[in-house]
Amino acid sequence: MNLDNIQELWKQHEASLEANRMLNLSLLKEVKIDKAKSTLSNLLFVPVSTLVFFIFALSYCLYFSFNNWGIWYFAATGLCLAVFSTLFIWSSMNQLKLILEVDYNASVVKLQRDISQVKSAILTNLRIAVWMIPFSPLMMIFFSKVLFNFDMVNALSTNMLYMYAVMSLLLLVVAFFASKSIAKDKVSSKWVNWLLQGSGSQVDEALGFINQIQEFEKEE
Amino acid sequence: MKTNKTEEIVQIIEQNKGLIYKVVNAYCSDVHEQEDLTQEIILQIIKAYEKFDYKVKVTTWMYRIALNVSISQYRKIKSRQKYILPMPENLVKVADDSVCEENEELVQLKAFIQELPPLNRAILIMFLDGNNHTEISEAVGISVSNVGTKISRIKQQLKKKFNQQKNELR
Repeated sequence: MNLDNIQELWKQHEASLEANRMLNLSLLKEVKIDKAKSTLSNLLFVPVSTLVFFIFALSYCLYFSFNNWGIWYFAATGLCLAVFSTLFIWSSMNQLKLILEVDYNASVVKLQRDISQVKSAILTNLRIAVWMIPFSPLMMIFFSKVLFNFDMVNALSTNMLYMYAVMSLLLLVVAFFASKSIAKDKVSSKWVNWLLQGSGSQVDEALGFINQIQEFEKEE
Repeated sequence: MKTNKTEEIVQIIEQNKGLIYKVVNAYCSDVHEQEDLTQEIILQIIKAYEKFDYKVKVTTWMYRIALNVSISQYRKIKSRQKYILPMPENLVKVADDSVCEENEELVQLKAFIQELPPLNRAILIMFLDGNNHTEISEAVGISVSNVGTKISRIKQQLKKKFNQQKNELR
């Protein structure tokens, strides 16, 4: 084939496509665009529900801390959970911003990168959750007070409390390595996929596509 | 959207519907998927028209939307059933292209396009449609010189592929 004629050949293709397709213009004028649901609106559910949940969680944690201000460990557990709730709120707001800023008028490379970033934004939530692991003994103190009005620190022996402290330090090491394995450019670990509840491959695909875009943008 | 704006965009879509069909055909082979994808592109074009500022050519802007929607659909083809499009049925009717007899070279060209990664495919489609490097650069979002490099590389690949097939037929 002569490549000079390739555009002529392509014109034949256009003619055949137009002959086989019919666009009903009178129906098109009746379309109620405002009522049409965007495909992106499906992506809003997770960040919106996460945002609402953690706003309530933050308010309750702050209320709990101030209500128990006299007992330092209750105040500390409440404040610790308030910090994590704030991080989740920040992450959800970032995700919402990314979704709402997606604009089909943008260039192909920009829009595809934006969509990939929306899909991989869940990794930030996962990293925050991983950093909560070392603080699980504090959470036990918090929930036993909230749910059963039980003061764990008062009821447990000093040795038991030391054991919890050592456990927290060990979990800190676990959280450090777990957070490192949730890399920005790859999600290949089986346990990360499991934590993402099946959406791991989708996140992996999104990260892979971001790399493809970076390669594509490089001047050769 | 105001009625005259709707009339305007419907006319633009009618004048450039070939562009939409070609992009859809390059990213999607199933007839029913093609109908859904065409509807989604038309929906996004109508929605985006309110924000369109004529800083680029209308066709360049339409390519952006058609390519963006098609590449996104191509990437999440497995979850396509989740798409909700409250558009009237039979807005677009696609006949099965396989029943039409096609030029052998055109078949080869279409097969080559299907093998390309989605972003290179976008460049080739626009090039084949006769767009210049600046227009392709504006739609795709890479530099003009990068467009030139990529086109010459794709053409080399295409030439190699055609020669290979010619040799196999001998």
